[in-house]
Amino acid sequence: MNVNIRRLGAFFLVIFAVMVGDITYWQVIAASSMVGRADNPRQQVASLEIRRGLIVDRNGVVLAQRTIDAAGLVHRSYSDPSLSQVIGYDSLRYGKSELESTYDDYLTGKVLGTSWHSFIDQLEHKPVVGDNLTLTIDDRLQQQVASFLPGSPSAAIVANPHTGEILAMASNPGFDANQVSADNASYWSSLLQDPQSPLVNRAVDGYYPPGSTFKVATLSAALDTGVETLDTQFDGQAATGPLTVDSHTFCDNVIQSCAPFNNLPAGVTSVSLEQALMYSDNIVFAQVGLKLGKQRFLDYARRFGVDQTTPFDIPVQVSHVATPGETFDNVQLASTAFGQGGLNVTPLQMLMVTEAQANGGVIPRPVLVKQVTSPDGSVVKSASYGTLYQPESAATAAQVTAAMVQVVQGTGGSGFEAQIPGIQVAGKTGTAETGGSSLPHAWFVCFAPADHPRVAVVVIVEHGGEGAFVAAPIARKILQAALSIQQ
Amino acid sequence: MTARYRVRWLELLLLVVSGGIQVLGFVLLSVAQHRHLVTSDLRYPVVFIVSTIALSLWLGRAAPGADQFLLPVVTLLTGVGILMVTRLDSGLGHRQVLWTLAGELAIAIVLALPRSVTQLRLYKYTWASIGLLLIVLTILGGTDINGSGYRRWIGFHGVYFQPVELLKILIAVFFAAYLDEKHELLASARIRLKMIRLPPFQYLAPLVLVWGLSLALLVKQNDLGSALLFLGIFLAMIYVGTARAVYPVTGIAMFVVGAIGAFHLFPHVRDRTEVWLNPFAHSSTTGFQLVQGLIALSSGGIGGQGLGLGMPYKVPVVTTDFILAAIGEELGLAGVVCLLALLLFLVFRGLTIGIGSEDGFQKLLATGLVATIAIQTIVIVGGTTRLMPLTGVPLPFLSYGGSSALADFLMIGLLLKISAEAGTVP
Amino acid sequence: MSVDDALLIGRVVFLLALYLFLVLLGVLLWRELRSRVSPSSERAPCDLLVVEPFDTGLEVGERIPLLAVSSIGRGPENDIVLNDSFMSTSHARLLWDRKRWLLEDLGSTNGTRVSGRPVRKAVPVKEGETIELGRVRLKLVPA
Repeated sequence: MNVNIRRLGAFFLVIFAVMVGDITYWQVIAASSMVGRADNPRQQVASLEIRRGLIVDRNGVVLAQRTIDAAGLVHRSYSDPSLSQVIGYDSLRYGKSELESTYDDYLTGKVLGTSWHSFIDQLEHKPVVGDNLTLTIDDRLQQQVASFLPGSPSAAIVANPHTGEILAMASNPGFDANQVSADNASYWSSLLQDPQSPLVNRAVDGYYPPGSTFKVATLSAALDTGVETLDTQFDGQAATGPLTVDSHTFCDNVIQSCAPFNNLPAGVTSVSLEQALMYSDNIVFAQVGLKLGKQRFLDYARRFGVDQTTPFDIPVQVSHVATPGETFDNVQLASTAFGQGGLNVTPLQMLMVTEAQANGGVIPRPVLVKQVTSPDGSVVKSASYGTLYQPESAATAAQVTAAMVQVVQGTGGSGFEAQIPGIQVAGKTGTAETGGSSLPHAWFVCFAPADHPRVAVVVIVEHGGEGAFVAAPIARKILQAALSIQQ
Repeated sequence: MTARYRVRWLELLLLVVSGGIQVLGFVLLSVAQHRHLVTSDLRYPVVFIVSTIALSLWLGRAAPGADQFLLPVVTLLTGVGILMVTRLDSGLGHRQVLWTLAGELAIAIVLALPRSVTQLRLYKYTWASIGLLLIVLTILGGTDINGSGYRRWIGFHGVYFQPVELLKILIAVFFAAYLDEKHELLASARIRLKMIRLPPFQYLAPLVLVWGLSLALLVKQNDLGSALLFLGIFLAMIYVGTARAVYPVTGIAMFVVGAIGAFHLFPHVRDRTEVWLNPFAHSSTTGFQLVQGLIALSSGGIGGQGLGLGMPYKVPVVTTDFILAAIGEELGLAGVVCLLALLLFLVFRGLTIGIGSEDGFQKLLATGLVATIAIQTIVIVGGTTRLMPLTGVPLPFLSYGGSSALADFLMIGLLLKISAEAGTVP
Repeated sequence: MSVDDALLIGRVVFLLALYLFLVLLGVLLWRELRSRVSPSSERAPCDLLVVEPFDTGLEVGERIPLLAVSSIGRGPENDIVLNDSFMSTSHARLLWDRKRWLLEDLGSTNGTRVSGRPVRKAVPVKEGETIELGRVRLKLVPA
């Protein structure tokens, strides 16, 4: 009988071992997937306990914070609605967007310090306090920039062309991130149904033909390769048009003078390349493009960042030099060279083209988040400054700058609305045809002061009309505000 | 029997260590709940520990030769059980302490009786009848005190008792007595069926009858967990008693047939089986309890959330069926494995006592009582960790339950008495 | 030290203490077993005197020394190997617990008897009594 008792004991031992194995499965192996289940009430309690980090501007002004209302409910509060598309929202129902999304792990304290300290805090069930973000944005400037833009769809970016820091980024129409973070369902559906798409950050996701502002890139390519010089003359039909490329003739009207397609003032029939930029002569730039040839033109477009993913703190739409699928023949080349064709870019891309001229031929990495700091003040992550692209030589940049100065300061220059007394402004207008009966997009890119640039600006007003008359004045106001704050 | 006294040093040492651990546990719980120690929270462990030491001192007189490992292990398990139940519901914790003290009193009485354990076998049919009668009573006029939908308690003046807990002991006694008397017969081979030597099943008749009656009554009450337990005890004792594997094999075959039948007859059984196979598909309905229990276990990880620092109360019926989930959440894998190891130790110690006894009846009784503890543990731990369909039996010493605490302590008392009598059987 | 730190330390100590208890159990159990293990290989104060050897190959009157626990049977793993065809591989066991002798039948086919009485569970054997294992007969005598 003893033998059987022992065997019974062995049987129980085996079963107990199996049970231990099974429990180990639940408590160790499958633990994380079980704990993360939506029906785990502990998760909901835990997520409410997280002290989400602050977002502040470069001067410490609080832009986003965790607040508790009188009823004890936790909210995410935003102080500047013009930054809604930059900072984004944090909503239980609608998720997170922009910076609130890309930096979520930092803000919720999931990026743990490697310190012993934070491990102990976790074991002791201390409420998690997230890291704080310091942005490069200057909120005083931001609010002014937002006020200078019209209420219709438009966008503007202000940056330091040397460091790449974004000082202001505005996109209209905006929305109130407080309402979205409060899970306001009717507000959310009104935003979704709004045909003007207020949720879109037009500065980085807007996708437009750049119009004549792209001539800056074409000019850079021509000068940098030595194909042309600023003094290259274009006479007669070479300046005024019409221009026949393969089977297409630029300047449809059979009238002998192709104005306004060549944008030349009355009586001007001969221009230097520099003047062609000043007047924004499409005929001249079409020829420049053809002279560069498809290979070199596309090459330079890419050197400026077109067709590339821009590394940035929020998602950026990729700009394309041509509509995918379309053949890039000479007609396309000619059109693209003066800023039409299948070319579609973001305002950030045009800012980068501009920064290259202001920064000796070097495009700096765009930076929005200056640093991430832990609650006790120590820096967890610093922005990585540096060179993103180097499309051209410093000498080329200097020449293009000179031409851009003429655009604003020169007689008959299209950018005259951007003149600021006492300061040399370098810029370029753009009026991008969008086809159909709608008004063209109004663009203006610029930087100042031209000899020692401190600020670079890009402005676009969707279907605003002429860049010279709609975008340039806004850009001037922005420049003045930015330069005065920079004192 | 000489009236000598022997200090049970080993037992006292272990009781003190066990007591220290219990006090530490209550201190941690108190601090976790109030942010500072509330000394009145310590009355439960102090009262309990003092009572166990008193019991040990009494045993020095009443049963000096009894095993010294059983009681300390039981007190540590019971102490952790009281700790968890108090954490979940201090009212239930209070009652658990009272029932535990009653259990200790039961041990004291059992060991004080001068008659040998073996004397129990003389009245085997009496015990069986009493047990079955009590179950019949609950079917006829019992009460349902916790809203489970089944009337399994009888009681008066606010004190309620679950007769099935007593029945399991009475049945073990009956089986042990019967098997001891007849084991020669049952172990022999009388019928030859081609190659298989079949034992004389007819001698089993009274055994199977009593067993069958118990099972029927339990099924009538919908207490499938206890039915499963009784099946297990039956098989274990038959195997040990007859040393013939054919009995448990036949028993298991019959169980499979019965289980399939039950599956088709009772929607209840179908539900439980479906939840076992596919809990996550029913996580908000029938599978809610099991899924929440598993989530609680997972939340514990290896080291646990800490006493009083998790959320085990989110699991339904956590003080009884799912006490393991609560322990798993707050004490982690480390705590659960240790407690299971303690239960396993108890089981082995009981089997060792059975081996050490020379009296056949006592051997079988020890085996049966130990099998009860082991099988209860297996059934409820297996059910709550999705190894098998969930059926409600109490986790010995750890889950809340007055009748089960009293009955389990009574079993320990019998085991102690058996160990004390080893070597002095006439 | 904050309350949270104290609690964390307490939790660790609690779990360690639980395992310490297990270890303590193990240690004490081991010591208890050791104080019982050695006697089984001790010489016991009796022998088995061969009365009727049958096919075991032993002589009548031969003495077989006994240990505190002696297993008897046909199988070679037994302490006392008796190779008679009416014996089972593992037939019986004879124990000495310092007070008396006990004989236990291990489920043999042909049974065990002490002074004619059949043996099922452990039965005391007094010196001078005759033990029958199958048909082989042995007598318990002082060493």
